Parts: sequence; structure tokens; C-alpha cells
Amino acid sequence: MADQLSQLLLGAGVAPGEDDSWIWKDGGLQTFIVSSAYNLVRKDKEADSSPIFRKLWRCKAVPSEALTAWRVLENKLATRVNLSRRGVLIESLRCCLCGKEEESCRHLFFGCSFAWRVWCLLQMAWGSVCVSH
Amino acid sequence: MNLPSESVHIVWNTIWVGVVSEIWSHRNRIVFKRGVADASEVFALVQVKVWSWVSTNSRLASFSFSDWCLEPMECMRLVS
Repeated sequence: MADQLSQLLLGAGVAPGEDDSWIWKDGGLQTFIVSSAYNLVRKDKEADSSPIFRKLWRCKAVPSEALTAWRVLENKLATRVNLSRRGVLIESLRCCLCGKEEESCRHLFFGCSFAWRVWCLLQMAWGSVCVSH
Repeated sequence: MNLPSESVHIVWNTIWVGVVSEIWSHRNRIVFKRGVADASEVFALVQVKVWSWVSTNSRLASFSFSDWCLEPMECMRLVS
């Protein structure tokens, strides 16, 4: 690391009569601003992440709830199946909402009959509106 | 047929987040606060929650909750 830095400095020189000073190369101002550094880091991260996560972070939800949705996509929520996988002792793995199947992320939000009813309500209220437009 | 604009997609993604996060908090209310499973309550809360996010989080959008429930597509078009 130190070698790399000194390599970078090898070609640099200060012209006679000119003062040595710090500049920030990203952006036209040449002075450091936090937002410029933030965007620089964020650009790399955005390129790495898949389109679904980009959509998630661009939506209008408050960050804490977008985080819950991220945990659903990544299967990181503390559902009963995930708790038991982490070694937490729990009485039953059954879904708290329907009581029929094991409570995994996939089941709780998409397979469960309760979740299904919620998605159907959404479809009934707004689905037809979208088709007609 | 006109394709829905980018802003409409953003609102649908927001609705998805609203549904998923509300199902999770509903589940937690049942587990920790002895709540009763009620799909219509979840849906009603999603409607309120997404309306508050969308109407406070965009500069140009200004619509009432009743507009949002009755004419969601018109409201979505207003979101910047």
C-alpha cells in the first residue's frame, strides 16, 4: 500500500514558484465536498448491485421498511425457519399466519394463504384500474 | 398503448415494499402482541402507508388520501 502510494507520487512534481496544495480530483471545483465522495462510492456500489436492489433503494419507502423488504429478498428475516437454522430453540416452525406450512420467507410473503389474501385485495382494488388504463 | 412511465414503476415498487413490510409487522403483532390475523387491516394500512410515503417524498405530487384510493393511476402519474 505504501509502495503504491509512493509510486503514484513519483511522477508528480511541483513547479518552481508554485505552492504545493491539496486538490480533490472528482468534480470541477477541486475542493473536497462530502457529497462528491459519497456519489463516487455510491456509483461503484450501484454498478455492483443487481437491478432489483437498485429498484428497491430508489423507491419512496422509508429506509427502515425498505430494509425489511431487502431482508425478505435476501432471506435474512427472523422467520421461524431462519431462527431454527440459526440455532434458536422454538416450539414450532409452523407459520404464525396460516398455521399450515413452515414459516420460511418465501412462504410467509408469497405462499401463505393469508399473504395471498392481501395480494388479492391489492389486485382487486388497484389491478383493474391498471388494466383499464 | 402508452407504456407506464418510470415514476409509475417507482410507485409500484413502493407498494411492493409496503405490502411486504406490513405483512411482517402484522405477523409480529400476532406473535408478540396477541393480534388477530386480518388481511383487510393489512391492506388498509398499506394504502395509508404508501400514500404517506409517496405524497411526502415527491416534490410535485399533491393528492388527498381519497384521490389515492379512488384514482391511484392518476396519482401515480403526478409523482416525480
